[in-house]
Amino acid sequence: MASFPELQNNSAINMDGQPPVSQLPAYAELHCLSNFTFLRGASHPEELVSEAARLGYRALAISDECSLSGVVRAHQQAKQEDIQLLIGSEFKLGKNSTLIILATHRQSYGQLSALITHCRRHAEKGHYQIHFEDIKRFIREAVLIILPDYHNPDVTLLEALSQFYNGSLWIGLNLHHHADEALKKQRLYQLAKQFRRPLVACGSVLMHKASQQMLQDTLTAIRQNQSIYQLGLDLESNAEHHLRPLKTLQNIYPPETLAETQTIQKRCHFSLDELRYEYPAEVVPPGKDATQYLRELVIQGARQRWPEGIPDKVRKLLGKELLLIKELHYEYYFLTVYDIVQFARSEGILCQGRGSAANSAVCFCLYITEVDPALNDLLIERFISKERNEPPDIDVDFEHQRREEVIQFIYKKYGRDRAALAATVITYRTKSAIRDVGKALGLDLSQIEQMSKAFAWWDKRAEYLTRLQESGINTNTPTMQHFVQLVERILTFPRHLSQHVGGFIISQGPLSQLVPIENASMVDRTIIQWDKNDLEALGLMKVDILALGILTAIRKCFTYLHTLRGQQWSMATLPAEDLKVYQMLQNGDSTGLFQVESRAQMAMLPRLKPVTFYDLVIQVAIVRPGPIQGKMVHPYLKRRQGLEPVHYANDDIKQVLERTLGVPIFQEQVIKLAMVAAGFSAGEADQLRRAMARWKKTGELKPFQDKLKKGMQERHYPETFAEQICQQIQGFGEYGFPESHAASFALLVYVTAWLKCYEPAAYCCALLNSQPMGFYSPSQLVQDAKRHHVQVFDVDVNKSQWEHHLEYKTLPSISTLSPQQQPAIRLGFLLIKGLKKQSIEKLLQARHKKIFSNLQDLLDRTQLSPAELETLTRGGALAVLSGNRHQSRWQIQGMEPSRPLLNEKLLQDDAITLPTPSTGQEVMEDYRHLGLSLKQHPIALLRHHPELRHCKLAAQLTELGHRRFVQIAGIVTGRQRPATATGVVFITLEDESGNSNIVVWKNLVETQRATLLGARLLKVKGVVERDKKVIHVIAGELIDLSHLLGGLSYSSRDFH
Amino acid sequence: MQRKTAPNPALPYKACCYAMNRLPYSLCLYFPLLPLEIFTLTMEESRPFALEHRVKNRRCILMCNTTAQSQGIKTGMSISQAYSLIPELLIQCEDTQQQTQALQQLAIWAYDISPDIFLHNNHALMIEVSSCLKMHGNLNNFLLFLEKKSPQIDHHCSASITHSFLGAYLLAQQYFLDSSEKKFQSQYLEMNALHDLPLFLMDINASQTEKLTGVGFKTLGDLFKIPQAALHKRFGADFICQLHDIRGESTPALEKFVLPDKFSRTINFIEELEQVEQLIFPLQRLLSELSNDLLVRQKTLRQLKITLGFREQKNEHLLLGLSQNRQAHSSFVKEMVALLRLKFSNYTLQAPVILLSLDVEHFFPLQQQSDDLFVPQKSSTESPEALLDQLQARLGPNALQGMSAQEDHRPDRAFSLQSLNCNQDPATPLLLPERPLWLLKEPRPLMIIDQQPRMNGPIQLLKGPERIASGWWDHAPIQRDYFIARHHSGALYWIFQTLEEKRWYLHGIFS
Repeated sequence: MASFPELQNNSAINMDGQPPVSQLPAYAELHCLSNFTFLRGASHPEELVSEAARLGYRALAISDECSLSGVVRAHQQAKQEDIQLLIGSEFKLGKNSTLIILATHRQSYGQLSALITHCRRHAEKGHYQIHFEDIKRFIREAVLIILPDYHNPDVTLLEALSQFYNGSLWIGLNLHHHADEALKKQRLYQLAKQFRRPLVACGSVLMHKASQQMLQDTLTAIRQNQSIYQLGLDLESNAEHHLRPLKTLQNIYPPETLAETQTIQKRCHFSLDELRYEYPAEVVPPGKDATQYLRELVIQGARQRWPEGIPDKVRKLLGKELLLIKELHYEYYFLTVYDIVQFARSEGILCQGRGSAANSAVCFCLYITEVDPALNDLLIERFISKERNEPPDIDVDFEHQRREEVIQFIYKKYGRDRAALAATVITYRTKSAIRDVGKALGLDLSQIEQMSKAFAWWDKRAEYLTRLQESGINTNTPTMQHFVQLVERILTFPRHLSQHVGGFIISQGPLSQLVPIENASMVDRTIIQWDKNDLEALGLMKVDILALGILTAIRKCFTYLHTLRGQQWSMATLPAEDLKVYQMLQNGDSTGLFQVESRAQMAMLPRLKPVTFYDLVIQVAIVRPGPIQGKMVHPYLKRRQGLEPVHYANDDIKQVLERTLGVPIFQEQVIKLAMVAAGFSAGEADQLRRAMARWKKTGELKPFQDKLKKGMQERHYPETFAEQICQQIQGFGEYGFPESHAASFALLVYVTAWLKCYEPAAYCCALLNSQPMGFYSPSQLVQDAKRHHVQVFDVDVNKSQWEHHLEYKTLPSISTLSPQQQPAIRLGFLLIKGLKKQSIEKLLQARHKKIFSNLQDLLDRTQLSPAELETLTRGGALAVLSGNRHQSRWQIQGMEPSRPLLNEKLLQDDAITLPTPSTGQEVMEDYRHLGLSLKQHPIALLRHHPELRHCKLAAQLTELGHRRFVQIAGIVTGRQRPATATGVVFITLEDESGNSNIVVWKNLVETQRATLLGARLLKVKGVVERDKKVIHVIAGELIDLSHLLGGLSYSSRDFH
Repeated sequence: MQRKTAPNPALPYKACCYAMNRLPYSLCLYFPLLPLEIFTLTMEESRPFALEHRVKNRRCILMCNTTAQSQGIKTGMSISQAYSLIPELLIQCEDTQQQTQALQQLAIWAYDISPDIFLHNNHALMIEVSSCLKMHGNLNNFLLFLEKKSPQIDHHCSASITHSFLGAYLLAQQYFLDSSEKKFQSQYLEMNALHDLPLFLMDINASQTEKLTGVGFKTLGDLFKIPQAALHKRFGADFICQLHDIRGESTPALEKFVLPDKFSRTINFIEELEQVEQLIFPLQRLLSELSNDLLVRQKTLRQLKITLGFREQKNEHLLLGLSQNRQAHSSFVKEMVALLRLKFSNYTLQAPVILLSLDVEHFFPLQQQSDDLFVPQKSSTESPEALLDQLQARLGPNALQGMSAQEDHRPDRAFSLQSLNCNQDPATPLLLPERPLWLLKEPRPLMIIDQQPRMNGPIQLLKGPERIASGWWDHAPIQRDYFIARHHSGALYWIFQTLEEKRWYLHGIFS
């Protein structure tokens, strides 16, 4: 008994009983990893900061391994809590040493950031390389803490570090109740004495609470790619790597080592708020000032835009905008974007800006946008607000096939040390979480797949447990309970960094002084360690360089029209507000157009009946989750048709909602409403906007919604209105669609509609040459063109080019093309699957002299290999030379292979007559090798089949009355299950006359699931439902007729 | 199918037939569902089940049971699509090893048709029947004989006889495609029936199929019309040889079945079995195969080995020794099941079972029949108690293998009974820190006086705590602070306090 008091006096050995509590020590945690040290840290940076603050730590360092990815989040959290955040990073050095470097001030931070950049850029994506020399080279001022391997310390390293960083080096003591910690302490004290450096306490924290251990173990298993059962001693032996209470720390660590944390904390006084962004200076010519230069450019542009004189309205607008830009110091931003756009224009790359600042008169004059401010009432103030003080946001879309040129231009102009892409943090989503956690828990792959499928793409997370039970999995076993719990916890955990779709950050000085840069997985790409939210939080400027397929198609179409009609169109010069174009749109004839091509948009067009450009702006924005979930669509349509009166609660509201008839449709309106109707301050409204963009990931909307409802209640707005706004806010989520984007998109809608209306052949040809893109397959586009009386010709070895092209000289009656006449489309070789461009180039060269007269001639003059010839045959391109596919393939197959020196000769010895392919076979081959057929539609071939006897054509649906019973059959070209329509699945069927839209209600979805998901050819018995020009068939029974198609390959666009 | 250029010496009779200008008769027993049935025969019909097939990285459905079929699962469908149709679908990979075992078992069953049996493509038996036709008198009688014998097997089978092996094989496949309602069906067809067979039945790859259909060929008949030289040039020598084999103009190289000297059959369960009783049904199946095997071999056995497999642990082997040699007889299966029931009656499964196998390593010659005449059915007349005694005497505790040692932070797991009892090398390097040499099987609670642990007097804590909090994943989590303590006698003890209840235990003794 006498031995116990003695034991308790020994501070290293305590019984977790009652230590001699005097006063809790001051402590700063200097070594803490967040989950941005992927698969090691088991807590979010925010959680760590909050917990450290709660425990009364003076400071917390986020020191992720060779990364600063998590620090911005931690910084934002620390600003809300009463705790200092230290910025640092951990490095594994040599064999077993760990080094922590903490930034002491701005320069020190820049050095750390540059060191990380260096280490990351010299290794594969996701890895880093570090040597003592690198540290010496980059780090001049910082706090360094070395955690040596106490069994076998790297004395040389310690020697070097202590010589070079004498006063800035500490030796870290981290204690976690392991068996030999007495020994560890003893050895470290010896080292401290030997190198005359102080010991400092650190917790080597991996999680904010001990309860995260389960998750930490699981992460270890995922990292090692083993199941938890196999890991054994690779797992932590206890949960001590969490943020421990001060009392516990006091019991474990010698007081002087705790006191040293304070010394270090006092040395580090860097905050991320000190980061100042500097715009690249070269966008302004030497000797000029930015304001003046921007003004000059704008005036020059305005003169070009309005050669007959700048309209008064515009002149006033420009003055106002330039003033605003000057006040907010955004000149460099506009000039940087201008510089990039200028490059694209000089290269003939079509581009179009959108975003909060893009639709301004200034941007129109700088050619960043083509939305004409003289015709449209779009005020920049709506997009940049003084009080919100957020950085302006311009996204620029470029032709998708040529965006890389723009990116390389930026790298070349500013250098890789000054320009890099923003990161996108890839986080655990349900599927990846199920897979990784399942593997970590040792479940087998089929079981994991089964569980992953149990969570169908339409299920809510809360229903997951029920779904698992339904699929026959016993969720009561401990393993399954762990599984469900872990999946839930790991969701939203960052997994790795990927490149943002196009967000560039460009700076004046080396970017690596601002934020570490690392390699992306794509060759020649570098990304910074922060994502767009981080950049936004720190107020750093970013330009989005995005790729947009439709711009490629528009540019190509303009080029064709120049050759064909001798007219040079541009997006700004096409005749505006053309009645015929709107008539076409009102009929829902929008296959192949930009944005309004989807089935939902097509169904909306005849209801909304757009007649002006602004109607298109609304049309683009209304068929989206926000307005739909907020139930804003029907009220808007009713008011538009004059069936419902428009009234406003007061003038403030009227100002916000007048242009959309009192119904909030755009994101900006909702935010403005929060200010006007619920009393949000500008700052709060801005927070709301960010929360909306992120809520799917963080779920942080609730407090805003509560505040909104309360605010509106206080101001006597009806509860239902508040509820609708809340719903809408939720719906905006990640799909938030601001008016500024809608306006830019609406212009592209108008341009594509005009082209389709007046130049259907050229437009279709341009679309076909810009594939893959958009909603429709080449087959559907070609069918649509044919319905618009455009002639389309097969691939022909003697006529086709690599790309599709327009033909009119071969049309029998036409020698020159009159404006009313449409050229024909000749399909190009690129349509034939498996054919290489190089082989066709050889062929085209040979054909240039003389067209081919027969197979032997083709063979002699092109030296194409039998395989290449066979591919041409499969695509039907040789039909003109050899009759049918069977015969020409037989001949080509008969060629003797591998006689490189001799001219291969076609073997005429087997004069065998083979069966002639039937039309059905030809169509099947066409689909297989070209993806489309001009001969006949597969359904037309099956019309005589008894199963299709009573089926109507899609085109005949218009003749049928409302509620009429109908049978219809077609190839399934699309299945959609909109998140906004509970349980309903929409199917698109295609036949020889066009498309029909089938609605399958929830109960039928459940009972005929197999047919619904599996059928390629479907017969539907149902009832016609008509609303004006919108016709649906409500399915009563689905019959799978896929067997009639045989081997026809026809892909359906499912659930996108 | 592997083709050898040398003539096949395994077919002397056939060569003889040709030499004598007589038509040979070849039987093919085609078991189309064998890959599936090796799984489904031991499970409930009502559960949807499918086999998967991997082509490069694509996983798709190879075949499925009728329950899955009725819910829309089709061959070739992707695994994800299948799951979206039936979320609770059970899917397994093909198990070619088990399939071979099953096919060999079927060959043993077919041994009394003719000993000239050849295994083909892991799902068919080719049997030379020209000679046995004579024995049965005519073809009709032979087909009747087959029909009568068929209920002995559990598998779907389509049987065809014609005058070439490959021809019979193709006809049997087509026969199943045409009508698959009956479990067993048999037919004899003349060679010209081959003309109507579709090309895809041939052993050709996708590119050859594409080439053939690309020029309009659909049936074997289409090919037979084309001059061989033209085909040879386009499709190669192997293709021509195959056509020859099909037409019976040459004989393919086939693997002749030879009785293996051991009996070994394994069943992998799709679902884990948690009750001992659940093992009986699959064992019955294995035993009936064994019985058939014994009959064909005309041998007896003295010992059976049963292996149980678990997910996370080593397999466990159970030996069932028999008091005397057993031979196959009508109640062999029943008797063995009775013995096993006894064996299992006081046995608890240490974990759910995922694999079961039955092995017989040695066979013994059949004793003279007269022995049995004097002691008819001796084994079954013995009382169960006596049998039990016998079994226990024979099995002993050593039939069970203990769990192996593994790396684990938890001392109870890291030091298993085996490592203490067995003569394991004491120098085995352990990464764990200081641990006592003697670990108690069960930690022993310590007396607490004045909140201090005691053990026949006071003890002094020397070192610690070492906190071990681990093992949440396998139902044996611990949260303990370990200390090294000195007893007044001088002995060093390893004791711990639990973190939650704050109780003290003795766990080990340092020597």
